[in-house]
Amino acid sequence: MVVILIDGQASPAKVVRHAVASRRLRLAVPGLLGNRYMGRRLERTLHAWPGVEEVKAEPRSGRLLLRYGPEAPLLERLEEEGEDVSSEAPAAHEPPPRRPQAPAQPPPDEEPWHARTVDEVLRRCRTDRQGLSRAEAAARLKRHGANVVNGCPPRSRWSLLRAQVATVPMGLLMGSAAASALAGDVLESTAILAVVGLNAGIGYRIERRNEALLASWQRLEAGQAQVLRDGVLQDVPASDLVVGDVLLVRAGDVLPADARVLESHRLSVDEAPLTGESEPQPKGADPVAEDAPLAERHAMLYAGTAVSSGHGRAVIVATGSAMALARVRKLVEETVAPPTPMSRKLDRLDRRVALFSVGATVLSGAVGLAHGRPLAQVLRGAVALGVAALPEGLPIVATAALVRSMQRLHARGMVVRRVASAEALGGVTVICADKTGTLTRNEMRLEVLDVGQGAVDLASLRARPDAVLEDAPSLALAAALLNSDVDVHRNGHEVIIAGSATERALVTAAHDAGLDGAQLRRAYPRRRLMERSEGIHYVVSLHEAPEGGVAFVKGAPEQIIRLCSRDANGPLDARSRERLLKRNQALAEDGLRVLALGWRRVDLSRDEARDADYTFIGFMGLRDPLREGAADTLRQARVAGIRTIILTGDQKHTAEAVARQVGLRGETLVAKEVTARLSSPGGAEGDWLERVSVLARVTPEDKMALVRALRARGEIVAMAGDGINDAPALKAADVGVAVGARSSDMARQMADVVMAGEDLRGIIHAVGEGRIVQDNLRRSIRFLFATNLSEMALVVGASLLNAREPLLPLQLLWLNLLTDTLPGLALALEPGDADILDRPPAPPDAPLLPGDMARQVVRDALLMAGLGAAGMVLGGPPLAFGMLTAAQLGYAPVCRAPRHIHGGGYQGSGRFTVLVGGAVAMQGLALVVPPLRAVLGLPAPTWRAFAGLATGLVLPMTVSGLYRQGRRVLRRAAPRASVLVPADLEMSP
Amino acid sequence: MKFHLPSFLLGYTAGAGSVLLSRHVRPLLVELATSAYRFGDMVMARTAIKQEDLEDLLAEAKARARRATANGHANGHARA
Repeated sequence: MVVILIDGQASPAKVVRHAVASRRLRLAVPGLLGNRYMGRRLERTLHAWPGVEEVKAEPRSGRLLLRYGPEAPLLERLEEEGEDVSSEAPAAHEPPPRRPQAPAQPPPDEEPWHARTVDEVLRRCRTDRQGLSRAEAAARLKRHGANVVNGCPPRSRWSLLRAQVATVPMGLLMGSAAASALAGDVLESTAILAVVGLNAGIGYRIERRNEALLASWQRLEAGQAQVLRDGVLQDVPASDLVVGDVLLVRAGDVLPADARVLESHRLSVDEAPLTGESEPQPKGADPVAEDAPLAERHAMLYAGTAVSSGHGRAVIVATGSAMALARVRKLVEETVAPPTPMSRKLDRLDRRVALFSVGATVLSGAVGLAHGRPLAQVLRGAVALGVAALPEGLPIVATAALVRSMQRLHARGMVVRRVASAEALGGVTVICADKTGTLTRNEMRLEVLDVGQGAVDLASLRARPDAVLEDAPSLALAAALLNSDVDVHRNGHEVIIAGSATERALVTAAHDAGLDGAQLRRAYPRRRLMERSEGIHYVVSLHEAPEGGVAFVKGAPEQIIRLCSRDANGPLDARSRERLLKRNQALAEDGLRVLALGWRRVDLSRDEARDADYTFIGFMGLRDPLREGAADTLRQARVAGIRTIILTGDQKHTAEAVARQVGLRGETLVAKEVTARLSSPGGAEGDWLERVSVLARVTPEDKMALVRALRARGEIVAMAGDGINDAPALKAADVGVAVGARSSDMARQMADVVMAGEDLRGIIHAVGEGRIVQDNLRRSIRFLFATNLSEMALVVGASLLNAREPLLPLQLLWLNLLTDTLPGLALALEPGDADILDRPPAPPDAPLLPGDMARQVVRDALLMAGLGAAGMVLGGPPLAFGMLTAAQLGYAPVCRAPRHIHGGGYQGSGRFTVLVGGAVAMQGLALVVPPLRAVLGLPAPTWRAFAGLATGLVLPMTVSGLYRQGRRVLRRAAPRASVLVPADLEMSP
Repeated sequence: MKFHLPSFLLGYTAGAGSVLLSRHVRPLLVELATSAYRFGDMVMARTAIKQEDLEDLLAEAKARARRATANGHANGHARA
């Protein structure tokens, strides 16, 4: 490293090569690339160095050559260096470096700040409790750069367009366009390219509009922080914070950098976005174990999390890319989104079709040559056959089905970012759902108030403000309200309560029951508040009251029960205490966060002991309630054959309680167990992954590892989440679903589907839509493949028999792009089966064209080709074209879903009739309109042509109807035989 | 010149289409051009780097060769 001073600014240049023999030093200078003014300045500056003979800056390569004489004092001391490969190719698209980054900040993982004492942290950060001086802060800012984490760049227009074009079906289309162009069919090639453009344009426009919609949801982040500089409190932009700054935090602040707590006062932080932990975590200055997971580092504050209650001071230990938040982002960047199941299947299908097409083309060519046809004619016929084999209508049909599905999802408040995701949802076999904020609201609520006679009905509870100390429920709510350290203010009619989630829930419940917090505080002014401390898990508050002082105590039930000597019914004996402890246990087992309350009269003028002789008031049970439809969603998922796994940063028992609430059964594992199992040889293959239903204490890495393990087993995984900690798993899953418009920006940017609302049933609806797309695509593929195969069979058959060419290339194009595509579209836009969510998902590895359907396709194709051949015999190529086209149009209704699914009739039949009828009308026009006839090379129509059209339209339906009837008769006969045989056997001696 | 309706319609559609689409197509064209420039710059940078590497290699070889010659002469003088 050589540091060059330009205009008073230090610029560290990297030594690329130093050859002592030739006395040449080659340096890579940041910012020089493409900047010839800097090059000139460098040349002028360095030329003044003693001993330097020549300086040549090259802005094209971003490097500088320095040739020095034998007596150059400083340069000769540089050691000779070998070729530095990494520095050889500065990427031309890299933005010019803003500031030198050295010395690099140690990543937070390498420096266990949470395990160090406050004094040690201050010493290592070269600061003190009064913060840095302004000059030092400015110097550090210059050295380390601004405190910013680059957001995920939005998908560029180019990448959106590329995503539309770089797909297998589009490749097929472009391949056939190229083949047509090679064969000299410019019209055909242009028509196919027009289809490519139309497909890409539709997909691009939809994805672009959705990106714009999502961008409008981006939240504006507050950009100020309070720090001590020169011992004075200052408001500083968050981007100007540096390591060593002493930060003042209070309830409501969103933390701008990673910091080590110096002192705290009831400080608790909501870390749900980063760790998934639903409870705000208490923070203190005491160091914790070095190997403590992120969620248990109580001495640390992390950027992106929000202070729930209290206030405190902390020293910043990491900014910018060194923060924990930035590490999650890096993980997201390193994660590769998997291809959609449909593109994988189409890829497989494409290979087979290509092989088949090439085989048929070679066969046709060889036969043509054997019959002694001219080479040019043989080549032209072979290419036409290749074009005929490719299902050109497939991309437009697939796009239409997906777009229709996207529109329906949009109407339900779901924004699909990638068109193909709409189909991928249909194949989902496992849903991994984040708990906090996804299954639950991430908002505590009072659910149980028990003042000795079982749970009070909170909905109908009316407190008595005039008899607070006499009425037990009123006393409980008043004690909770007066004992809580919250900030209540009004914004119009809305009451805003700031404080910890638990205390907010208690105060809200008191307000809802009719207690006026402000009035109560005036009636019972607080004189003192004794906080929780080491080993003391309760808060005592002392108040003036109309008849002397009172003390309220609120906290951990075991300790509160110990402090109480009586309850409303009289003195507490051992049996009563046992009963209370059991009640506490029952509430806790139900997944509630339980608090106990007590009170006593005190003499405020005397400093007496306040840790005994309380009267037990009751228990309060709080819970983060389930989101609307969460339990229903999981039940519907079970019915639809989809497994659900809950992923949470919470404790095991909290996660288990939520699983019970939503009716989920299975094994509960914590992250450590999962990591151990996955890292053991063959661990991902065991059947434990099939049993697990809850994963607790998981980190973003664990979530991603689980999603990958499930995918490796062949599952199609949907990940539903809302936090920053879910982002890597959202990207790694087959389909990532960001839940709610309030979800974190990073989660929304990584998701394939974004839900505007918070009703989880939307996910199941989306799965249903995906299945409709899959069903419709299968039917369309059956239709398109059978019709294409019939054309091929006719062409190859004629070639083998040395007959005339039955179809001209333009007739093939007419068939493929118009008369095949419209019925294909009609099949792709069918409304779907009513019982779509009552059956299990299709196996993930099931091909798009399964074996029995492939056999059907071949059978139907041969039937249609047979009709075409009959036309060829009866009226030559024009009748062959007419009858084949008609047979293909008549084949479309055969590919529809069985009628019984729709209760004997079809929904949305109008669209189907219009599209297929339109295709029939077009074929009719082709027969009668002279210019069209001329293009397609058809003669004037005869009665035979119309009779052929009618026969072709009716025959497939008739044959299919007869075939179905025959199978039904056989099926009816088969069970009777199977019943009779055992009966005979039983009767025989 | 004879008026040819299809050509007129084709030309009119192309003109009207480009006016209507320019608002949406322009940002895409800007991105495509940016990518093209980036690619061009990258090629230029790689070429310049390889050119410099060759220059350094030849300079070093020349310096070593000259030094060896100079050492040979010096030894010759010493022996003499």
